[in-house]
Amino acid sequence: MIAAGFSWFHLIPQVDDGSLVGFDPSHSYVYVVTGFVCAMILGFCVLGRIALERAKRRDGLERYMTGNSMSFLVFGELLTGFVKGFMGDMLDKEDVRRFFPLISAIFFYILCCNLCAIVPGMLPPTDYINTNVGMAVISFLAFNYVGLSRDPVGYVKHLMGPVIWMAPLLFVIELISLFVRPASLTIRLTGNMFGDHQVFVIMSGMLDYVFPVALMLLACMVSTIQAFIFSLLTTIYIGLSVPHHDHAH
Amino acid sequence: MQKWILTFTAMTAMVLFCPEALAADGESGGTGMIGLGAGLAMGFAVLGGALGQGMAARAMYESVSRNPGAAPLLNGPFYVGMAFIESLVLFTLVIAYTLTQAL
Repeated sequence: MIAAGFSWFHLIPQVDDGSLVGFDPSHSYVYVVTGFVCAMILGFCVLGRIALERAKRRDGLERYMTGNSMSFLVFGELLTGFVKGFMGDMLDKEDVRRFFPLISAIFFYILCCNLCAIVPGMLPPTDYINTNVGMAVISFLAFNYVGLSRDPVGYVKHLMGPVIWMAPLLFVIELISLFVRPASLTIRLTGNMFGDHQVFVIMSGMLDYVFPVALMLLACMVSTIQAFIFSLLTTIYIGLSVPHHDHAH
Repeated sequence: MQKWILTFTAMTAMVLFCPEALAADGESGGTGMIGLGAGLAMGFAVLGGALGQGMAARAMYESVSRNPGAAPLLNGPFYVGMAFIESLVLFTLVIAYTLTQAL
């Protein structure tokens, strides 16, 4: 992943030859970076909590208003409103409240991880496939849990298709497509982040000060879009697993 | 058109029969084929992906030029669609990278 580039983790002694962690050194950095990202998110949560406590002490309409100008907290509220907005398009109100912590956690975590790539010398934790596999497994468990806990018979019957005599073939096909969902989520995110960083390293080897600017702008865009896509797809899968009774099956 | 088909078939046949020709010298054409496979895979994938994204972008520009009020509505779905098309190309990138690592 670091092909020709430099990263801050090379400065830690014993990382290069693998004696720090004991296996392939190019993957041991992601644990450190993931720690930073979690610390960042935790810091945001603490700040948000402090702001909430401070807001509760105001009276009247001042209680519910946010700031006038952009600050970290207002930006967090912007993103939170955005997540709630696109969740509200797929799920009904009860489910939005129930799944909002999961979806917003996925969104903010992927966003922060991806934006780590823009800091010079840092790697995004999401370019290592295991980070994304973890999140995709959680998403897989989430939408299966929704389907199986609310209406297990209906969920399995939905997998069998409309007609009973095509059920064996269709069941296999639907099962394959069910397992392909988390696989495609991981590979999409991994490919985007890894490919982006590789292109950045190689292109900035070619032309030192022109390409990195344009590629960093592209990286900002791609990071945000990929975080949005992952959480949107998880929401869509949950929305598809929720039992709908007015179906013409 | 016939000439292109003939040329393409000839090139494919050359590529596919290369290991036998190299095996006569005692070299292994295997590792070269892996690299060739990775390169060709990426090329074809990007071909299809670029065409697909171009079609999506064309649809977006045509709809917005016919109906400028639809631009804020189409903004989100446009990027979602592009990301889906791009993700298919990226699946091939992952395979090509795995192949290159196995050289």
